[in-house]
Amino acid sequence: MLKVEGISKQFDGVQALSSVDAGFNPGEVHAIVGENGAGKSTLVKVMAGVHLADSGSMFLDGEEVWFSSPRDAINASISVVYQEPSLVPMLTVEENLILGREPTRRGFVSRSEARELADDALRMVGAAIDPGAPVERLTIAQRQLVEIAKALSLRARMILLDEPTSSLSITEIERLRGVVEDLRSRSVAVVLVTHDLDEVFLLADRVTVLKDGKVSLSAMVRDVTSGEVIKAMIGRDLAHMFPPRRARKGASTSVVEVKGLTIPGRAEDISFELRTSEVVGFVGLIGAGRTDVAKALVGAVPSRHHAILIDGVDAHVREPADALALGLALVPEDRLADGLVMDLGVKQNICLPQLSDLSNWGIIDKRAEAELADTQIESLSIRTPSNATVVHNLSGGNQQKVVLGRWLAKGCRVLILDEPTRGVDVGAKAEIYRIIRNLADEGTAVMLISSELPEILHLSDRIIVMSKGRIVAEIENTSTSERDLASEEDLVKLALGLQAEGSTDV
Amino acid sequence: MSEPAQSSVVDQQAPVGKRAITRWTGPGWLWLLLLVIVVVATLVAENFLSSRNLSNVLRQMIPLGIVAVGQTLVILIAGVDLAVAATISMANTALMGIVAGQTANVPLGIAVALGAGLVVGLVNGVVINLTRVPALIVTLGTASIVTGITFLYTGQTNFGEPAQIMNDIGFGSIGPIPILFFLYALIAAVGLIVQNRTSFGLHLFAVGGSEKVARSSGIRVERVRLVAYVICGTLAAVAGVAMSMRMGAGEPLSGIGFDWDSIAAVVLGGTALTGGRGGIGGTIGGVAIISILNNVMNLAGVSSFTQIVVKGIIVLIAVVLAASVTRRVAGEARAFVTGKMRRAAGGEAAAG
Amino acid sequence: MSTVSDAKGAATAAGLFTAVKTRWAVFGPWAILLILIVGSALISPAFMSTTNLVNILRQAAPLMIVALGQTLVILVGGIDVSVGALIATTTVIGGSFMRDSNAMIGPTILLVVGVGVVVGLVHYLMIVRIRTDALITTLGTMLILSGLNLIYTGGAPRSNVPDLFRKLSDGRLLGIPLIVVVALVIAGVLSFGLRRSTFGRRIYAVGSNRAAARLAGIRSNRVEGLAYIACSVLAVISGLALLARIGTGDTAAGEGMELDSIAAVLIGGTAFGGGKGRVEGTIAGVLILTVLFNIFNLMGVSRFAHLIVKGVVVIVGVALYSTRRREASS
Repeated sequence: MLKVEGISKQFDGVQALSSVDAGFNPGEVHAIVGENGAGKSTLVKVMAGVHLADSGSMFLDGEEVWFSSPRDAINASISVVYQEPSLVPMLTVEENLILGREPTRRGFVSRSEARELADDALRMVGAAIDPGAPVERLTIAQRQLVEIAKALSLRARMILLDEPTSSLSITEIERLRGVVEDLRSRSVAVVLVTHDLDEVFLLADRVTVLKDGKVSLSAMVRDVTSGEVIKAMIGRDLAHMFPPRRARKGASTSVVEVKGLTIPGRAEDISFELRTSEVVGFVGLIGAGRTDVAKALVGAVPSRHHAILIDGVDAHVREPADALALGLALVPEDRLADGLVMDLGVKQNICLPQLSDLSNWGIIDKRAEAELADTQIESLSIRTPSNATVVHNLSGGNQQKVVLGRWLAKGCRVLILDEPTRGVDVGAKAEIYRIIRNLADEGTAVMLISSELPEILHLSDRIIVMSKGRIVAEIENTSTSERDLASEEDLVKLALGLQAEGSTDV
Repeated sequence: MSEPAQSSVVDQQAPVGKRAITRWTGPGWLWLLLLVIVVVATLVAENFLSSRNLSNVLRQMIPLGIVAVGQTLVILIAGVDLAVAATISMANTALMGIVAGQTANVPLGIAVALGAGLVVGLVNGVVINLTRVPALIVTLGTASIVTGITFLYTGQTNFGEPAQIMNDIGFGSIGPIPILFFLYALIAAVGLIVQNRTSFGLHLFAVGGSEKVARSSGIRVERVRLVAYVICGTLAAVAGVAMSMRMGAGEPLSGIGFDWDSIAAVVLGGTALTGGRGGIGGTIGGVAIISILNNVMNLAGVSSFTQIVVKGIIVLIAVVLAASVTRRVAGEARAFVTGKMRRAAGGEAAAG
Repeated sequence: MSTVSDAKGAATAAGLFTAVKTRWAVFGPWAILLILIVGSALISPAFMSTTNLVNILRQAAPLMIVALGQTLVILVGGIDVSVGALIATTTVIGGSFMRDSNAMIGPTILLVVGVGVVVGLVHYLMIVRIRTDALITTLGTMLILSGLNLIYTGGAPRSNVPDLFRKLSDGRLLGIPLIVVVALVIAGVLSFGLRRSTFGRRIYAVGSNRAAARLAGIRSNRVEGLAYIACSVLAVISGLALLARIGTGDTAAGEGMELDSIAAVLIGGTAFGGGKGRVEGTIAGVLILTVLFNIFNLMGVSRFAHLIVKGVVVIVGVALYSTRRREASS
């Protein structure tokens, strides 16, 4: 139905897509997989008319087409459900569903038709959500369903789902499968963009793997194994990316002790410990509350707690500056929104926490600043034209390194990393893993939050599983061989799954 | 749908259905506040409830109310119109100048005055759409231009003369209700209907709530913006015309204060400056509160200087109330944002 | 159906445009100023006389001082429309307390600065701690101050200032009016401070991305609070400058200066939302507005035409390099 040929796209000198070919047929579920940064989202946006490809062509039903705006794609019956929110929070579910194509009768919006439209759409995804509810009061999972409902109700011939299950539990993924089946039977072409292989093998008929902007594998799902797909995704064996497992060396002392941490609406009664020279991996689905716990620890969000002890003393952390004074720092999940000051340069971002140390009588010592920054740029291999380059111009991986460099330069006793390799290319990922291992070896207590199980399994000494705001399991990760790791993985998945099975909401 | 066995901290849902009504009436606390003020007023000033005084209050609400309705639309899309004061003055003087005491000129005068307001709104909308200059600055600039034109036209003195029929309308009333109040009521009613029952109204909330989403839903954001500013400018002109009906001559400074006052009324009524929230229902309440307060203070013999101070205090109270509302909602919205912010961050800009 | 080559062409043009734009951000306001000066010189021979040029500087000084304060506030992402009223308050209190007595100059200055600090603290409490909207909040304080001014003076200004104080306006240092010297010194300090001091760096960080700055250990509330307090204090200093010139308290002093200061800051390249901009730009912005006012005066053109042209200049000046702020996430 839709065919793309030779699509290439460049952003600020980085080749996001190189000559990509792919075909999408009605009644077929086509999964596009790849690592973060492989080009999946860009491809989706080109097909949705959001980005203009630099070269290549698109054919719809055999005729060449070109989308220069989202409207074009909508008119061509192509519908997208993005990762980013595409609902207006203050409006109700119903209003969001009819937005842009309100049913009117003599100039006024027809309430009954609108309600019908909304009910139909919601029924299609099997969501029992009150259409009159304001979107901002829905849970994340509910919002996602509404977004999917919106795309479906546009009677699209092709639907692109960009990481649709990122915040759904296993039960909800099952429901999505039902929806996808339904679409398939209606001859809708479904495009599933994901980096989760389970989804691929559960839902898709065809799979295309993108690696560094190029197509590295294209086949029917039944003809390939997951190993082949992984290889196509990262080009080498997964295990080689990680520093070798080793037994934990020496005794470690408790640095941070959290007791009964509660963040209203996000997490409840969280208790755990962070120790020197230890990496604690936090795993869970999105919405589990891990980021909130991390932010609460450094005082970035308000919380209620029975106690947060640092070195055995009750710490009163009101804002991140207080946490920093005690040696705690956070590398946030969203580096664009929370991590980097985009208008400042590399060296300025790196040295931001240390301004007082780098200045005399309040005046910044430029030489000292540059020296400190250069040290980090060098040791982390940050690729940047100069140490004064505005960070906005760096690639994702290098941006992440700048944030890391900031805390490495400062030196922390406890470093919290929230999804440190998201949007980072493979080479940089391996480097970051090495850095994490080194940090732990040198005595830092590391809290690692990640949605990628391989990361957690290879790097953590201890794994804490969170689900829906609570800690549901704590596992010592003593495995040193791949086989042990596999069983660890099952254990973790079980913990996640068990929790998900227990819920029947939405 | 059954609730999960274990209480899920994350799955909270607030009672629904309240919302639908507030789109028409504005926030509940506003009317409570109004009631309190009315009660206090009755106690403080004995003749507050007299038909003559009530008539005065209603009359006071007319020009401010009309302007505030237009300002609400603009603020809903996260904009602001600081040119309304100048527009009122311009409409006022233009009308008076053209009429020059002759009834025959009235229709033309009104047409020109309204046309002028429309043009001002048009300019505002077009410039804001084309350039990326913040609405504050653009409307400030147009205000300056319009004031200059008005002064040029009038020589900065009182200008023109109303026709008898105008004063008849302006001073006339049906019972205790001034004739022009019906105009305001009509405008407010139409405004409410447009806001809540038409596509355009929904688009206003959408654009104010999230321009990005509105755009990707196919809404022509620029057109919505343009229409909002045009309506605001035109309504400002209407207010100017309404004011003329009670004046002896056109005054080039007649609009002074209406810019900040209308914004204060809108904000007091619960519409957020960040857009997407609130509406005309609240604005009506805000206008009522401000007018009644002015009236009460006058009756109580409070000096006009003190009244300004009181207005300032009210504004501060309103803004604190607004902040606590935003905070509560923002907390809930934050979960959505952090949960969904799985943009291949930087990956988009870099390697996709 | 747009072709790929069209898209490519557009992309290159856009790149070129951005390159020009970034250079323009620094030099733009000065270019405009230059054009204005040249134009004015051509229009009116009296423009380039030393007396007139000195006059321009003296006229610009109070606005410059207040605009510098406004720059700080806008840099951290806020705004302050109460400065005009605060200027009036300063002249009213100043004139009333100084009351022709040299001895009272010192204490009065302390008093008005104290008032400025208090106003700044109120802004801090509301805007930074409670997170109310900056525009409306400062509108509220503006109203309160205006009302208090009127109540205090009963509508009629009182008292004159002693001659020693007037020297601030009349006196000269090396031929330059003292008040201009004061303005330039303040400008110099702020310019250096913003570029080289830790506080300056923090202001840019907080203004550009408050969340990131906080996570990096910056006490953002403190930084924002200081910006608002500095703005109010500078408004007070500006008020003192005006008082020195007019010699007596005036409730209408500073009228319109809040909007002018905002316009000057924006024309100078600092944008709402913060994080980007420089003091030098504000200086240029102030001079642009003052030169405009001056040339219209010289030409004897009515105030009306001046208003019209000013409106156009403000819109165009800001349009030349306004980049819409990154859309706030949801």
